[in-house]
Amino acid sequence: MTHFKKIDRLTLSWLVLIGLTAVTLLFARHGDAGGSVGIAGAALLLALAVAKGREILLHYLELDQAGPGWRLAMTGWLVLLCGVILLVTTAGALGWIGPH
Amino acid sequence: MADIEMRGLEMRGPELTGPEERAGGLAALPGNLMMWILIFSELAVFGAAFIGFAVARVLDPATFAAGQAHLNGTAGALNTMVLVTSGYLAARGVAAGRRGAVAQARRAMMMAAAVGSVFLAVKAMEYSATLGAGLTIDTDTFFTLYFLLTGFHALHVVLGIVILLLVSRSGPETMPETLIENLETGAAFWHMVDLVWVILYPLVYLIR
Repeated sequence: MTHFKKIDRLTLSWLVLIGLTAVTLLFARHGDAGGSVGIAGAALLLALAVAKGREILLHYLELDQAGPGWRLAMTGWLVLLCGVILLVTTAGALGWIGPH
Repeated sequence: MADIEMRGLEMRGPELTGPEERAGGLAALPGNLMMWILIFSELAVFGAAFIGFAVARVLDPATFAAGQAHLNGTAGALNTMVLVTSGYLAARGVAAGRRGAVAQARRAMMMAAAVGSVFLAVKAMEYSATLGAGLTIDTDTFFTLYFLLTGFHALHVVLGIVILLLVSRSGPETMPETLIENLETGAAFWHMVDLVWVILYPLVYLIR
């Protein structure tokens, strides 16, 4: 615990970003082998993207210092964009929209 | 109330030197306002392009799956790590500038640019593998969008490296406030490039 306190917030963000990217590496290996990730896989990948984007917005871009309006607007953009991508991907996987 | 603020400040160690107290509204954002206007427009454009990519994939899943099978997801993950590490160095450069450690801030920005150039080297290897396999921007919808999206992003990486090198050249003659604003402005652009990539990577490489 005392060791943990020596890590400042920025370094913690970097470690979180590297850790989350390591998780996507598992998907990368699966994908390089030619597999589909499915709806749950797509949801997890986009959730990881939101988590990474949030670290970048709040701690690299310092929106944690910029007030609730900016935080909401920028994380809102991130969540909305990934949400729309998931919605479109799910609609395709379920056959609601598609080539046929 | 004042008591709480005082304690809040005391809890920050020297490593955690935060931004100066900022006013509300647009002044609450780090760096130059013009850079933020650019960042907002970039995020809007990339956001629209990403949704366009997702829709195009749903309309032609077979072509996209075949195209994605040629991409190297591991190289993409490696490049994510490269970019977030470079972004971390740039953020540390800003913190060093705020502490008045000008030489350290310049070094951090130059290191951020150097690590950023690794991204371009990996990207060049990916492109040469793809093009070597005879897959070009004209091959099909997937490769058209792949080269447009990743190429447009890679151009931003090039521009970001140039900006980082420019702000790292802010010399000792620069006023401290100007130096800090330069560092913040350059880093803000670089973090935007980072942010775009963490969405582009799973969207283009992994979701299939």
